[in-house]
Amino acid sequence: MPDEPGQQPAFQKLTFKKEAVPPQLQALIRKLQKTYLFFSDMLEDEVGQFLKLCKRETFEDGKKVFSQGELGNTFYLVVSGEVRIMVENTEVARLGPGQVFGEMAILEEAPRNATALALGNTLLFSISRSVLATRAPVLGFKVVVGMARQLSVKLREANELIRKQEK
Amino acid sequence: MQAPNPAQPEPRPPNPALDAAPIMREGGPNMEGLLAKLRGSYSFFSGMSPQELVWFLRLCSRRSYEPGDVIFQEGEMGDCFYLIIFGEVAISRGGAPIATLDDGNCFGEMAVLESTPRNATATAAKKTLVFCVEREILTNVFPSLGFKVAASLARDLSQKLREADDRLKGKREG
Repeated sequence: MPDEPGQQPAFQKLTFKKEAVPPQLQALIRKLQKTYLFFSDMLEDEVGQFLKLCKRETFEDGKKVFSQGELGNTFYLVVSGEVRIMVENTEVARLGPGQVFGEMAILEEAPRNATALALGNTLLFSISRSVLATRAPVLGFKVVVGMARQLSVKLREANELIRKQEK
Repeated sequence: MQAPNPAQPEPRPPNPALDAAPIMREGGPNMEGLLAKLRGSYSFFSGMSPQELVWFLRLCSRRSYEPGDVIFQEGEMGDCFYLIIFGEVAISRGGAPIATLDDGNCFGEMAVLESTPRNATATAAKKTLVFCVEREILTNVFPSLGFKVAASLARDLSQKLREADDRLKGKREG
């Protein structure tokens, strides 16, 4: 046995020195990390930081989140409920809890290229562009990687559809 | 008893003075010109500082391909994504062309981001030079650089998705 059982890595001693997160918030953070892939790379205090930068917004069934052609400074994370993405009155996608939308307008600084409508009572986190310019670069980094990963999935699905239609 | 090896140099915290030196040796006085050209010509690099660009270049390798050379095959696992410096790359699936990419475009990033096999084949269509960028760049070694790389990738993906959506819309109307 080459390992010395009494020795602990230094980082284990340091973990308790951090500022304590209120227990109520801690439970929410754990739940978010477990339920949503978007948060899975983030540490507990990064999720806490992220939540401070979000606004909670509720939408009743059929209410508009944003309209095609508008300029926008926020992207959204669906927490509960569903969102329909419409291009000229045709539904192109339906998004559920854990999925982000509205990120394309932020990344490309272009007008919204679709309209988003709540389906059922829907709770969203709205996140302003400023979260990407946060002074915590590691958090900004993880948010962007989370976004990129979801974009990659959406692009894969769009390519799949194109392939089926062109057959 | 194995002590941690302190001689292992990578990854290590950035040190501007040390980091600049070997590149200057390799690239000679033209290095600054190259950095300026990359930042001016490719939107991928526009947000990066010269120092970040130097780190970036260390995590990538240059590869050149002749027309017809396969860069990667559908179904393979892949640990890097590519940035086209010049040339043209054809993306195809099951033999059917999907897209043609050229200078400044990225490809192969989907497999890296999602940790899935390549979902298309990439073939050089002309004489092509690419930067092959290791997945490592998206880990937390250099958070500020990783952030900018991820933001560039996300922007690139967003454009591709917009194009795919437009293509779908055209089909629906047509």
